[in-house]
Amino acid sequence: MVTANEEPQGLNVVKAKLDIFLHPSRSGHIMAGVQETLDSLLLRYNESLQGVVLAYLDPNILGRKHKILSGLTPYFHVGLTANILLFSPTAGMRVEGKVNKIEKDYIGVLTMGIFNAALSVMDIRDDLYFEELPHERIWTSKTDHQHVIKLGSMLSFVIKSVQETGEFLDISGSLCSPDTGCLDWISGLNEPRHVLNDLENRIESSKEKRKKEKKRRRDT
Amino acid sequence: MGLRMIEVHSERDVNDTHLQSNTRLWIVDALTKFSKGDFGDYNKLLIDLKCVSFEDPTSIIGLVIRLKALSQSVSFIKEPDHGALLTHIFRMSLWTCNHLVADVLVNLIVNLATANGALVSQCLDMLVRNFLPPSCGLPTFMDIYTASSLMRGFPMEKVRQQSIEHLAQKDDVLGRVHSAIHQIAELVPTTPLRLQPIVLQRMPHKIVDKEWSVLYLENMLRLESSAAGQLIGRRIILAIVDRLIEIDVEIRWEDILQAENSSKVFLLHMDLEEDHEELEENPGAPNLSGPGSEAKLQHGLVMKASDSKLHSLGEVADKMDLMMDLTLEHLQGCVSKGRAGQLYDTLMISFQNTILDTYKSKFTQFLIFYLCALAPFTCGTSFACFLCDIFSSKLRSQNMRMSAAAYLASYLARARYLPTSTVSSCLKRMVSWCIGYSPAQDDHKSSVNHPKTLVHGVFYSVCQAVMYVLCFRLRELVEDPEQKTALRSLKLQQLVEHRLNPLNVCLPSVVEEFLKQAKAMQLVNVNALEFCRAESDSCTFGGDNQLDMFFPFDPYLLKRSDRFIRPNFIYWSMVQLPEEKALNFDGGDYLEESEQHNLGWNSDSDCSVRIKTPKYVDTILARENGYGSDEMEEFWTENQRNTGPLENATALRSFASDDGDDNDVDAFRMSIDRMSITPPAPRTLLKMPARLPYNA
Repeated sequence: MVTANEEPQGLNVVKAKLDIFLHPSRSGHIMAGVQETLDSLLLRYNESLQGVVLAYLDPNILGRKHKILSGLTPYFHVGLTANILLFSPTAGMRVEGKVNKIEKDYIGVLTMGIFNAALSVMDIRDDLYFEELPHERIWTSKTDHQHVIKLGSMLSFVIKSVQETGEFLDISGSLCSPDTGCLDWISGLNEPRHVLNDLENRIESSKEKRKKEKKRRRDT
Repeated sequence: MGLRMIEVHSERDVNDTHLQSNTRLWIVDALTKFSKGDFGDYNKLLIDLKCVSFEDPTSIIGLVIRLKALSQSVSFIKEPDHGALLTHIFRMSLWTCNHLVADVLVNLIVNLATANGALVSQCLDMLVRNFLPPSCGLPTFMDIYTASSLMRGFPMEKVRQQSIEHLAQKDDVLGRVHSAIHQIAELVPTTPLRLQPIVLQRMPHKIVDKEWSVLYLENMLRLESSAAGQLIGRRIILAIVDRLIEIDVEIRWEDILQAENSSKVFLLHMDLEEDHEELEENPGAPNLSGPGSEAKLQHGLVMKASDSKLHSLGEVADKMDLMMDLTLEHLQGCVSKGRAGQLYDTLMISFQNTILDTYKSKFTQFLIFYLCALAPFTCGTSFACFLCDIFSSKLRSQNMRMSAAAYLASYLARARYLPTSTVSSCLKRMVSWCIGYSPAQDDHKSSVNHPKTLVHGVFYSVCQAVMYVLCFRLRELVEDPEQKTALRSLKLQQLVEHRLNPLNVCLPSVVEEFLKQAKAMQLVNVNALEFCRAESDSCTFGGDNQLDMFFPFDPYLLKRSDRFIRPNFIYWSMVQLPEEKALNFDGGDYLEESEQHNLGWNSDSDCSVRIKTPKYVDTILARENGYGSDEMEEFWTENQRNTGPLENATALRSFASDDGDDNDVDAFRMSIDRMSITPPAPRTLLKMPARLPYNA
């Protein structure tokens, strides 16, 4: 889930060169105009950058002279570079998200607190099933009752497909792989169990040691 | 699987879980088979959804079960494949179905939005289209069942007649719509970003009937105060102000005033779109737009134009009135929730971009006036400072600076809630700016033979503003000892003796009233001024070069929304000198007329003035009969005990200024007309905004 540069998958910072066209009324305060334009990119999918713009850093205007577009429009051109934080999910990527809706035929998940993903019933492995309890709805496992997915659970899932509709992303995810599911449960699968076993072993061994010591004392 | 659609027989079937799950399986099967190319079951589902009779309870329950099943199979509904099904769902209306269907439908919409990111915008659009009922007659807001019954020949007028029924359940339906939007916003964080363009795009055109314009506005305001409004509220408010301005400029002062006398004022001759045409009014509707339409302006009666191509003035003014009323009420609500600062920032954007530059804006600016009234020490004062900044800023265009000066004049004069310290500090700023203004500043323009009113427009506007404000506020400022010294330190003498000779150019009515009051207070030197005036009469007065002027906060003429403005407003009658007031009218019946005038225009707030009126008779009689001034003084001192502080000041001042000016009555009355401060001659109320003639 964490790439080599210690960032969650799908996130990356790119240095981009951007061409912005500003209205003449902005010529007095170009930086404000630039920021306005960059702000309008935020949280929207950008086709040329191939991702959703989450943030921009250090916008740097190149040069002091800017071309005025001749002909029909009075807009002038400003070239700049900026570091842009992008979220570019692709199919097969593993991401995490918080469950915000549980239904019979899908689970709604929010990744990074902004992007919705839906896990359709067809993309949830057969081991998991929907159950309507008196006070809440859950998805749970047939084989392991400790695996419970409910509102607010953190899920790890695999992105099945990403579609851009307009300027927004439509992510659908899948829980088909056996190592996907509720994060608590996954972590329970690995580390805590080792720790537990380890502890038990130690306790066992210490008990044995004591017994041995006692035996020795008796013997002596 | 060979599943079949199970027929519904009775009402208890709604809660039949077996039936429900079978229906779901059947629908999932139909949807998946359709994607594989088997259309049979899917088409049957569409027909089942289409053929619903809202009179038949069994049919409704069938619909409820199908919709419920659909909302449990949303992940099988794919956008391009099942387009027909989605179109059908998105064209259903919450207004026409009963609460069972409505609840299930809302649930389905919310599920579609969360399960299928591609559908969020369409779901929101569906909800926004439910802001108005189908009976509004606009094609956008027409639901599929109404549309198909219209196609079968159901008369349009009957659809319109349902509006009463629909409006009766308004709270219920809108509650559902907004809670659905709220639910989607909770689940999908990008909702506000997507919702904003939809709401703005679906806004009905300004010519749409007032009840629907107002209903949509109500929805927008509701959205603005919701959680999603934190992100998009600003844009919504800006759009509302723009729409108000659009309607505002349709109304001409002359028409409002003439509507009181003549009835047939038709303002717009609009060519509606074709689909509007087929929705035209039935000829049988009562014709109310003819004689007597002015009554509507007064009483806010519901009325429809007999011919939808002609919009009477009353209709437009009434729409404006209702929309202003709603928006002002919203402002009140927001301020009580502590959002004054936020709203002020938003309205200032609108003010700079739209209101200030709008040539004939008459009502929209009162949004700011009222917001300032709600928070006089914060918003009220910063608005005054903001206007000062604009008129003194060289970066702004001349027209804008002149407009700002006009706004400042009217605002400082009329805003009753404004602290006197603000008034006096703004005056100080204006006067010192004027004195510091040197004609050389703009000399490069004057070389081309421009009249000086044009070249120095800003200067004259600000001078006029100073005088206009003092006409209204002088007495109040004198009353306060601290402000009185501040007033004395104003370099008014320098102002009036400025080499550009502002007294020549500014509106004579303002100049005269100002001189009268200032002279009495010995703020300016009289003799020098009379010289100026004699000289002035020949050149610019009344000529083409006279300063084109308007006062944006002249008395508010919309009856309903006036309730917000009236208590915060200073009417000229509240400032006017008592004996001047009486002398305004000829002969013996002045008293009666004065009564009428008060009743008609200042009926609520000016009670004190009205009650006092009879006493003036004594005063005037006393003066006419040549009684000594001692007796009069006695009268005034006695009078002071019975009246409020403002009136006290008035009484004292009037007495002090009693010498000399008696023969100015005519001039004064003219001045009143021009300044639009007294109602008896309302037709001359409007002076044009501060604007330069372009051909000059």
